[in-house]
Amino acid sequence: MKKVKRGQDAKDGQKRSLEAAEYVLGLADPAEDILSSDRARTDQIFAQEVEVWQNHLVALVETEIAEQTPPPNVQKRLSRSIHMSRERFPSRVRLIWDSLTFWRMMATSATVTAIIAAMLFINKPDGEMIAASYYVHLQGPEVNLTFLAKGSSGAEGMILTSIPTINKVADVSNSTGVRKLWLLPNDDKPIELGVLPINPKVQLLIPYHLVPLLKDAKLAISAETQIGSPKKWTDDSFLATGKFVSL
Amino acid sequence: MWNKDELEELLRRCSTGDADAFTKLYQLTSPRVYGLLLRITKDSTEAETQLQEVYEKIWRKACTFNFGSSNAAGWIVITARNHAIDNLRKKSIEPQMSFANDALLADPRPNPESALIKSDEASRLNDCIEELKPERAAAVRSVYLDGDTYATLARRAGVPLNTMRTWLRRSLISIRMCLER
Repeated sequence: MKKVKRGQDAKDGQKRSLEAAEYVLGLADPAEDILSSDRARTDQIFAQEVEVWQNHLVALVETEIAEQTPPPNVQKRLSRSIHMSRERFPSRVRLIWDSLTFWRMMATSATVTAIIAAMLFINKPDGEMIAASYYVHLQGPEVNLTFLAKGSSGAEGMILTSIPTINKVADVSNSTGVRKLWLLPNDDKPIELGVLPINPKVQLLIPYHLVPLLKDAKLAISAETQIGSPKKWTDDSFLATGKFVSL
Repeated sequence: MWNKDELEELLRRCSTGDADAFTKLYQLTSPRVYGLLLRITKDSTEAETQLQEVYEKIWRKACTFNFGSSNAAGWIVITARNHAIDNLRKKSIEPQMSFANDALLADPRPNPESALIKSDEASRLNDCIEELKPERAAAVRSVYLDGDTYATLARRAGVPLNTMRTWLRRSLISIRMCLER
């Protein structure tokens, strides 16, 4: 049994390495390239493999590509271009733009705005389901995320949107592997809502037929292991859970 | 060989708008990057234009570099290589096989000096590539250094695309396994 597992691990490792190589070397087709790029951001093991292939590439370039002195006019043109870009975008502004504090302040403002907007929309019903809004906070050792679920007249369900909070999504992205969101209805088996994208703003759809379940349900996030989702669910199956709170 | 710590420090300064750091970074790295662009574009005018575009990109994107955990030399090389390959594929033409100015082109073979200073990693990688059949080793080198695609290599070798894909994939896996030994 162990031998079979080792064989499978080796196969998975080769597949991962090949995908990383094709991504780094530009052999992947555009669709695969987008998937690999996304995977490199969300899967640490894959990201390490990408780094390995990048290092090979650099090593080969450093030893096999002879240095060639570029024509001097390139540096002159570059200096002019850089000078112009600095005038358009002074370094102090650039420093503020690049500063973490600035973006933290922006994220905090966005959070406050999102909550106020959510509160304002509660009393504007377009039908019972559309009007309903929920707030859910997921907290665990590796995860700290807040979501707002709100109906939308144009959508086919409730939109579950992450509320931007400082470093919270990043906490998830730093972990290894894919993360999935689950709906845990009261006394029923978990319902998969989809893969959690590692974006500052996450949006997922909860189909309307599931909306009535939200009242007593929990939202959960799981680690998707290479062998797939766990077959038997226990509290330990999830990285974090949080109860839907009606707004 | 590039000093990766020095490059990272220069990139860090570039990210704060330090033009002097950028000049230094350009002086240190542009000869190799220009060599790489010449190799991929096989056209000195095109390589010159792309060199400017690549360094403008480096200047603009320095603040997106993952300081402390990524390899600065790698970031610069990958930025240049991807830029050149993207341009090549946008034009959808085969690079010219006869060069306007051969003297400007990088010698694909390792020169004695570079052989002496060859890093362990490059040396091991070269050994692993050499373990492949000669035509497959050549294909792997073309992928690494010329940015060739499966389709280009298949056409050149006169084999079906899927055959080339299978050959190259097997070669890449062999290289990875060889490097792990």
